[in-house]
Amino acid sequence: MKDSFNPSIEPPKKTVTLVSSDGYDFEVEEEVALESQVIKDGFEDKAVDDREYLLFNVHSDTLELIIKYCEKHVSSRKSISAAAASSSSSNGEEALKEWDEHFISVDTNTLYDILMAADYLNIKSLLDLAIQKVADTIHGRSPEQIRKKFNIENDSIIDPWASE
Amino acid sequence: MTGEGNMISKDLISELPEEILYFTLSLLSLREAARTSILSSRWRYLWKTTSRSISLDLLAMKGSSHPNCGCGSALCENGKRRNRLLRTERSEFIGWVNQILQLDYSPTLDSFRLRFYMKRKFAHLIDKWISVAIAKRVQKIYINLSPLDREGNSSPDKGGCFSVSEIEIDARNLTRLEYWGGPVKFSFLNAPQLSNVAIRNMLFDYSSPLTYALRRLSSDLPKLESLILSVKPIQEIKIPCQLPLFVNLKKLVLIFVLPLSLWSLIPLFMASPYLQRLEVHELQPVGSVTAGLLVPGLIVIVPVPTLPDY
Repeated sequence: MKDSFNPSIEPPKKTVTLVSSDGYDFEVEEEVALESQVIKDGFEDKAVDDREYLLFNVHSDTLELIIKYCEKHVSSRKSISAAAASSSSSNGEEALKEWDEHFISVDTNTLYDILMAADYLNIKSLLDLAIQKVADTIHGRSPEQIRKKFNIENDSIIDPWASE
Repeated sequence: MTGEGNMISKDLISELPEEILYFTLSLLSLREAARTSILSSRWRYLWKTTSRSISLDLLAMKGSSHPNCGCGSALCENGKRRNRLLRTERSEFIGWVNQILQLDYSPTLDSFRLRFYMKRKFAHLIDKWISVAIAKRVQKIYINLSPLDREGNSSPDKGGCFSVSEIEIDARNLTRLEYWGGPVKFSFLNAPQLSNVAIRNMLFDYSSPLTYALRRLSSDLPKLESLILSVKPIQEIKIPCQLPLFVNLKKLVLIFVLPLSLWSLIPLFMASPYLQRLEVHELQPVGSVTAGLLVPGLIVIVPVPTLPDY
């Protein structure tokens, strides 16, 4: 499959630097960073040597996950469209879905961090994935179970559905 | 950044921005979303904000996990068992709708959708539900009470469906009305803004729309701009030579089944001096194939220039 691949004509990968709230630098490929709509907007206006983004709201632990997600999605998209072009059958989309599911199976705190970061960076597919995860967690659980799962403290004085 | 490590006991989900929580709740069934109101004071009114539109059907009641989503599960059964299940499902549905409408405190509503197989004897309930929606100044109402077939599609011709004999329209701000169903009598009591009307009877069941249209429609609906009608076989219509004017009518669509003669409709065209677009659709009756104009779905578009001498 790889015989058409010729590294000599591949241009050098452009990168941008993402800086986490706790001061760590992450160098990522341009197209990976562009998964974020916030970075994409106004990307062209920025000088090429000034492509550094300070992400005040994203901790390095979370940023690592976000980058992992974006890298996976960029590479999967490429292999899916390559498979479509050569009309060879591929289960790329399904595999990606499975990967997503595995990726988002995290504890509540991490899920919260991912949600906030995806919202801040405006990465729609990741935001959808994380929100769906919260909805799935609520789905099929009793209020008491939901409270426990998310550590929600019941501060209601009257519980109108208490008899249920 | 909050909470890496030692913040396990903190309720982070409730701290999410409201838009994210709204979106989360909108992915749940109405029932499940409503249930989150008792989680804590933060959650109490969240779900209500999401319910700008209320969709009442089996899917909303049972949630997306229900195996027969959209389709009445009882309808997949046969005979007595089916009837019993239908009754249970219906009474469950009625209880659920009452509960939802009681709990929904939102002052306004964008759309109200009711999709369930209901019998005639529940008309008073449906009236009540609709009046709740109207009190909330609902913008769009969609109601389908016919039985569902196995695929969850509506099959109004299968009989046993809720039949309405008269529809009264008393809606000061209504601008658009579409009706597709059995023959009914329309009374437009008060609909001064209504400009867009479609009245289509079910296939092979022609009755009064045209007759009505020729009598009082133009005076009942002064703002009428677009009119879509299914009409009887043309031979049976006697159109009076003088019709009251449709002063605003710009678009007229007529749907026929049998051979039509535009000639006999001339009084109607004469009464519509500002008509800009006329469409005549032929519906092919089953088993009869004729030549010429009677191609199924044939559309004749006649641009009518402004008529002189008016």
